[in-house]
Amino acid sequence: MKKNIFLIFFLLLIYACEKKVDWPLKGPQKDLIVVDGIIVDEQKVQTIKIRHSVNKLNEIPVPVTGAVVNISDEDSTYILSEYPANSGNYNTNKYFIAKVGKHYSLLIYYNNKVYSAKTYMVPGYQFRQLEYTKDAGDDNYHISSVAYPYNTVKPAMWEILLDWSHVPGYNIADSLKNKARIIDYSLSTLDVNELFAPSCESVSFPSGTIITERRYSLTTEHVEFLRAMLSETNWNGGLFDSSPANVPTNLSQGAIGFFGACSVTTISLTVL
Amino acid sequence: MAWLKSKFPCSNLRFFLFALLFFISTTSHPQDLSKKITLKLKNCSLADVLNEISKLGKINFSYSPQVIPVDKILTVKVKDETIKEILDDILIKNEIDYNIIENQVVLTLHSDIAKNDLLPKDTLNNSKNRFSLYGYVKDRSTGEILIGAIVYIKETNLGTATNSYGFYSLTLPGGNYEIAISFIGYKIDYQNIKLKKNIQKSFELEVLDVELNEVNISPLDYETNIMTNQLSNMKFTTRVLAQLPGFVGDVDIIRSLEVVPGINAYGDGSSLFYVRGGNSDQNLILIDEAPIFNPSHLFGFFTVLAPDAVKDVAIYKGDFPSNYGGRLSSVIDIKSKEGNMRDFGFAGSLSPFTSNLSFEGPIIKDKCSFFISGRRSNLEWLKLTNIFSNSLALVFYDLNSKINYKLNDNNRFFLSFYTGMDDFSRATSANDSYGIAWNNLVGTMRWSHIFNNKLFSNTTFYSSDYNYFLYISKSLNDYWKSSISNATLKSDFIYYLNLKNTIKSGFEIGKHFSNPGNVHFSDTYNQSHAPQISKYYSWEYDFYLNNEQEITKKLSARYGFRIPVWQDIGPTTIFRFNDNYEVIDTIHFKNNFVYSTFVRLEPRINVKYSLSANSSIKASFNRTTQFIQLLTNSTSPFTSLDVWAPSGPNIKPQIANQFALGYFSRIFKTKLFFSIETYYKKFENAVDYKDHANMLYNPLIEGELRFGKAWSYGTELMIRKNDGKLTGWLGYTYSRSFKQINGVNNNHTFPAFYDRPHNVSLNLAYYTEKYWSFSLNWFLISGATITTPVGFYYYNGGSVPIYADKNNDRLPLYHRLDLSITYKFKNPGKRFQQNLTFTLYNAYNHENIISVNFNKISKDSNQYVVPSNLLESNGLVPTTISVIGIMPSLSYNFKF
Repeated sequence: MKKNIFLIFFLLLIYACEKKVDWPLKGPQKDLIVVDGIIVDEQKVQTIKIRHSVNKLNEIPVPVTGAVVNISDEDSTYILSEYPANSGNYNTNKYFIAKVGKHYSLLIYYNNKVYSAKTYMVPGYQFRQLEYTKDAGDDNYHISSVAYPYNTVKPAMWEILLDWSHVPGYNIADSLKNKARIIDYSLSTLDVNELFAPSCESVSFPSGTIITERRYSLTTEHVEFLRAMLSETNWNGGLFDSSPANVPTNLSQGAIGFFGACSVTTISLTVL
Repeated sequence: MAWLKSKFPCSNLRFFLFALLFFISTTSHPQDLSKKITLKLKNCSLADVLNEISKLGKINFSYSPQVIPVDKILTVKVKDETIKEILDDILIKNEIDYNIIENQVVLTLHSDIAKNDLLPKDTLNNSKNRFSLYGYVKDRSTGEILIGAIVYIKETNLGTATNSYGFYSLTLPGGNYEIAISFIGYKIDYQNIKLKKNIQKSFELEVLDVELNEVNISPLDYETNIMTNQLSNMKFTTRVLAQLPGFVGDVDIIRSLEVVPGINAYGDGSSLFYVRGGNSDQNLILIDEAPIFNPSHLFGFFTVLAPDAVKDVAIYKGDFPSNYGGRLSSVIDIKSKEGNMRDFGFAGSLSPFTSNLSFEGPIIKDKCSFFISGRRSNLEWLKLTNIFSNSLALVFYDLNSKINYKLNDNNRFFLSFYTGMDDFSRATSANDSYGIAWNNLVGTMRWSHIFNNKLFSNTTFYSSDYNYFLYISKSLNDYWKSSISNATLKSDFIYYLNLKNTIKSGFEIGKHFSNPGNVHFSDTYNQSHAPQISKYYSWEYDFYLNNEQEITKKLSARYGFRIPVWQDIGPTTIFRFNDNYEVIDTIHFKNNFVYSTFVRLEPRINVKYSLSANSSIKASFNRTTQFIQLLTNSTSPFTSLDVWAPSGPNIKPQIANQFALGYFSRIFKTKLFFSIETYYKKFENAVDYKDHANMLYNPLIEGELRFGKAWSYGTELMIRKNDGKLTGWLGYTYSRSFKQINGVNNNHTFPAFYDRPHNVSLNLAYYTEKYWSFSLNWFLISGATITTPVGFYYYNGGSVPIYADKNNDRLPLYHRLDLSITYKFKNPGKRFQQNLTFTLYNAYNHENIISVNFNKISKDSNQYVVPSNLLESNGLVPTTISVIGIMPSLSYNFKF
């Protein structure tokens, strides 16, 4: 990425040094309900994940089980059931398709508290497929460009699914190691920490990889959530960080996370 | 002495040189007047007699040959008599008094004669018979004026300091006075003045030569802070600057401020600094009276102005004189060199990172001079093109010039100009590149005028222009640009009413412009769809008046006020927000329409009480108002994409009220000076930002701001030694800074991120008699506050932090040692001087942490990156980033 070039220069010039440390967290521990759910305009089982927050880095979150969860639009209410049991994953019971232009409400009843969120779906758009280029040192490839990161009119989230588990030479290994899922964004805002973001892990894949590129439409509120989340994650840890703060949410009653509704457009291609 | 007489027929000059040589050769000897000597001199001048006594008795005499009758012929025949007996005999007979001051036997005319030879006794205290002594104090070798030089009247124990333009004025009863003129790093000059009319007289001081082991015998320099009313300030003369270890070979003016107690630098590689609990944009940095909005090069690793161009730096942390305004926390007043009025000269340096070259000289001798200096980065050796395969350009430069024209004794003109630029770009093709760039362009025209013996004025027109570019495509000329600029006319008047009252007054009229950042696309479609960010135009009017008054011999005060008036004018578009910061109205103002006006009164009061000749206590209160602010929610130590906006309907002017109390003392009769200052400062309308504020390219940027109050308090201690082979200071500061902002941290109080309670700084410089000089800086500072998570949650495959209180955590202790060793090549009798300076920044390679992160995974060879593949369950690790480990540098410096 272009934006990382300056950072690399600085690292070289000023002997910037990044080290692993033990840094005990300070402050009161919190146990918050976290909602991770996006419903889309595709005919499939839609899932809302509900977990507890964690108090340590890399700690496995405890699922929120036994909650009553439903999604409603202007016309209907859809009951979600937890499956697998005790997983904290709540799925629609039938094939459910969210629709562009509709408002949706999420209601969670858990431990005598009601958590709710509202969202809206804006239309999706066709898009130009991503670009990939060959790695410098081998015959593999990497993604060089997904979309222009600044788009005031049509902001979007991009989910890129890579699968090379069928490629000869790779199909005997652990299938998860031959797949990747990358998220990228086109947001309606520009930020200094975005321009000077730290380096990202580079994902290499061989010729023959099948790429599924999915564009998610975003509401303004969803953009604000994602921008704040990126500021605390992907854009954090460079030399131009912004002041840290909690990521906003559209959940009520102290729950965190985001409930969104996105129109999805998909392209598939094979790396040749 | 015959050779001297033949070379210098003028007796005054001859005796001056004689006294000078004599002074130089004997200053370090102790004075013992009980020693017995034998003298046999026939028909010799008094000067020869003193010379002989000096040789035999190993004592030093100091006197003005213009006052003492050194040509008087004497015959002295004594055997085994004490020096005291001899002096009593020959000096008292000739109506000459002598006193031992420090290591000198100082000769003066007999006091009765001095007081009575001009006027009858009854007229001495008659105000009708008062006269003024006024003029400039200058450097003898270059003719440049000296700022802050002391002109001290021995008989009255009163004195004054030259102002920012080198001017002084004293009004005294008629009579004879012994005057001492002194300045740090210069030899003290004693002059006897017969004041029977107004006298315009400029004094010229000679630089101390530390290689000759010269020391300044004046006690006055140590007492400067004791004698003057000013609190909360410090001066860096060229001599002090020269003894600070530089960063990679260069003495850096702004970064050097971190050695001043009460100033917290952000840390390694940063030009940002925080003064007494104020934000970094609350520091007014002036170059020849014009403000500089971004003093950094290479994001802050270097700062503006080549060190060769700097003459004097005055630092005010509080107790701002009324002529300064517009910022809440500090004034850094940098005066650039004017150019040598007498000789041509050049100087320069070469280091791995920068090259400096300056040139100066007279255009018309003793009438008009010029100074020009340039600095350019030398980063090409890094061979960045090879490393990054595509061409990467990193360049910064400074260009500073000044012309100084002395029309006559009463009128001087200055024209100074500074420009600096940074350009970092990377080629994307043979014909195109992208990158960032910023530049400062500053110009000053100044006229200093002496109306009469009591009234001095200075009229200045300056303009300052700062632009920041983010280039998307240089070939297409597509870029984002923010700007701030102003043009101001100001006049300052100083009226020396009498020895006890000095009145200063002045006004300013300035026009300001700021563009918080807009894009320019060569493509008309893109341009038409780009959001338009409102630009701002404002007028500023200021008036100030203050009097510095000696109320009694021990009590003095400086009191006055400043009235700033700020008016915002069209054309612009202003958004009105409701309590939830939602836009409820959009108002377009046409050209020159005044849509908001602020008038503020800033009282400035200061009181000094002298406890003794060597100690004083001072107290001050002052209010300052700030009408322009840098809008950024960055926690970065580096400057980036600066956006400035003025006060207006949505941004009330920030106000600071500061109380300070200080005690200043010389430690017994040593050369050590001690000070302690304590302060309390309260800010109104302090600016902060909503969570994840969108500060870049946002038409509604004013809706991202939150306002509240802030306060800070602290105590600063310093022990300082200004003179001798070993100089420097030790400072300690305890300070706290807090904020309470509506809409931030649940409206709870939180420590500011520059809240760093403990700060120890040590600066030492040591000169050997021959070739070497050494200097060091050492810092020990509490870590800055940071906000760290108290937990995490997972969303869409990523780990997101959860925070509790803002700035709940603190970085580890910051400490650093910088060393500098200079070897001076000997070139006796030649003007060409050269030296090699080796600097070691962060000498013991302490990793000072600037940030802690919880979002990275470890990759090959201890590289830490943000994970991309969300299917992998890579463990995140906490990491810390530190910048600039040990940084050696060798620089070659030369001067002619």
